[in-house]
Amino acid sequence: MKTSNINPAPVVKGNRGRTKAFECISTQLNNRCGVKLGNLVFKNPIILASGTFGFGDKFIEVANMMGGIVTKGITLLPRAGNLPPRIWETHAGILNSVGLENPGVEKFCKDILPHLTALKTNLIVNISGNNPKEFEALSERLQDEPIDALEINVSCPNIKDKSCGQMIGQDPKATYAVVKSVRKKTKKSIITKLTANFIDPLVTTQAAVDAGTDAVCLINTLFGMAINVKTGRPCLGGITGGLSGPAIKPFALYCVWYVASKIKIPIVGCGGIMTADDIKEYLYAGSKLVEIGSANLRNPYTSLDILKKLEKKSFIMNGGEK
Amino acid sequence: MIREKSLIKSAEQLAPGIYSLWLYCPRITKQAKPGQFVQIQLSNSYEPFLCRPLSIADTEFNKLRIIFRIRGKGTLLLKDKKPGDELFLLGPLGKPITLSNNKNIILCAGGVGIAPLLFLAKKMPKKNKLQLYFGTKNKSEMILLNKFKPLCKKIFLTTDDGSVGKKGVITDLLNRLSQSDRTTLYAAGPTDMLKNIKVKVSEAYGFLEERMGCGCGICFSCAVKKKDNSFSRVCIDGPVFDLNDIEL
Repeated sequence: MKTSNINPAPVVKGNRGRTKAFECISTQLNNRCGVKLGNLVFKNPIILASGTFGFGDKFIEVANMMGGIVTKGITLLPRAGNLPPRIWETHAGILNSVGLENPGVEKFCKDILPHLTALKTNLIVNISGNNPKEFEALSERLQDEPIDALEINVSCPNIKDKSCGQMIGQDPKATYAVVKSVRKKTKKSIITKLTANFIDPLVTTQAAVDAGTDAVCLINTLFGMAINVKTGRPCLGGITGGLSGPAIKPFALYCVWYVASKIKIPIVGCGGIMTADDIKEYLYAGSKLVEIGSANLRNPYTSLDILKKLEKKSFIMNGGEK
Repeated sequence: MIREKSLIKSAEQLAPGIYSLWLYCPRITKQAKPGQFVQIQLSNSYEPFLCRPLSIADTEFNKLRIIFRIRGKGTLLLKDKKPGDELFLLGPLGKPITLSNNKNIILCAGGVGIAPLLFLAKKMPKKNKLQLYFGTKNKSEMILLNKFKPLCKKIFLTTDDGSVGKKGVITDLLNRLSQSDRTTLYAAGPTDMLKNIKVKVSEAYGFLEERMGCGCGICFSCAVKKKDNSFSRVCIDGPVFDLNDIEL
């Protein structure tokens, strides 16, 4: 089989056949000044993904070492979440159907946010809503709060209400409207978290870019379900869920590469990262930052372990994990 | 909350399908309190992907004990672990039980639910009067009785087949108790058993089981519905709940 280098990356002579992309990523990983996104500087490319690290008030020692942390999704009004079971283990991954359980933006700002101000990392708040108006109200409410950026969630597969969550992310026009409404109300950096469920992510990325997003995050969980063969009933209380973990990494990586080769906007790669090598793959594919999600559920210290490996210069020079 | 590599000191089969492991993990053991559990990582590959939450059944000189019934692929893997093997643990997790001021304590166990009650019984102040209600399928599953005998004033047993104690389920026996003031009940076992508890006591607590993701409150997966229709997380708000507060 013929192998070829991805990205425009000619082999640099006299450097043991390494590509320009390799050199670029080595600099990126070893350079503690880090990555920029709008006005924000990330001390390293690792962000803790929404829904997998609570609100950031636990394991503060882990969060502080990362480039950023995205809070659990916040909505305008409180949401109780879906019926249990909310999690189901699959091969090399998990299905979840939490359903955006959160106390609503008011309670978040009053009771939770004060505990997060001591975080020594970029605090990104994930916001979710049913329509552009709700997103607008959320961004307005959060504009003067001590947070660093907003992540617009138009891709949650666990919200069943029509015209919201996943549905927005499957419609470029709706995505445009939502991002535009947030852009109107906030000066903070915006990451738009997109889906690849039944939609070409390039189309929605373009819509989000046109509406003024600073970056896109690819990808949120994939639709999935599991059925108990003894009863014939779905294993999850919410019937269907979102699949994440190493099982979706090849597809997520493809989405990042596919969009990165066509659109010049920072991409946050997300999907199944478990090791330092996984991060390198995402950086080669064209993402500037990465989000670590499901791995936190298996071991909340995973990101710290990965960071230690990334920061060893020898790791980069030896080209792989030992 | 600590992540610690533990060493299996001993492994034994207690009954058909029920196993016990003693794990050497000084840091977690030092902090462990009744009502708490540990998350056990079963493999270095991604099969199974998640850790398994298991109650702490006992502690002793830098070691803690877990007792489990084979239920799925996680516990099947755990059963094959041998002394000398290493396992990553996260713990101790969950809210410790605040020991009751009531003098009379009833422990009600169904099957392998007896495990967390052993740790609780051992840590109860000596002034308390303990009674154990223990129901299993059959005689072979009547485990740990010799540990409870010195700790409990009275022990009542039932089995489904009548091979030991009364024939029937343990809640039949328990619910026959006349109303008892200044009594606290701690129950651990299948959800059906917890649902059937009708006895009138001043306080009734149940050890809940739910599928967990992280075990430490960051993923919001292990929800239990409360009477006010809100959800609590079994891993950080429990796993022991006031049975009057939750909907089973």
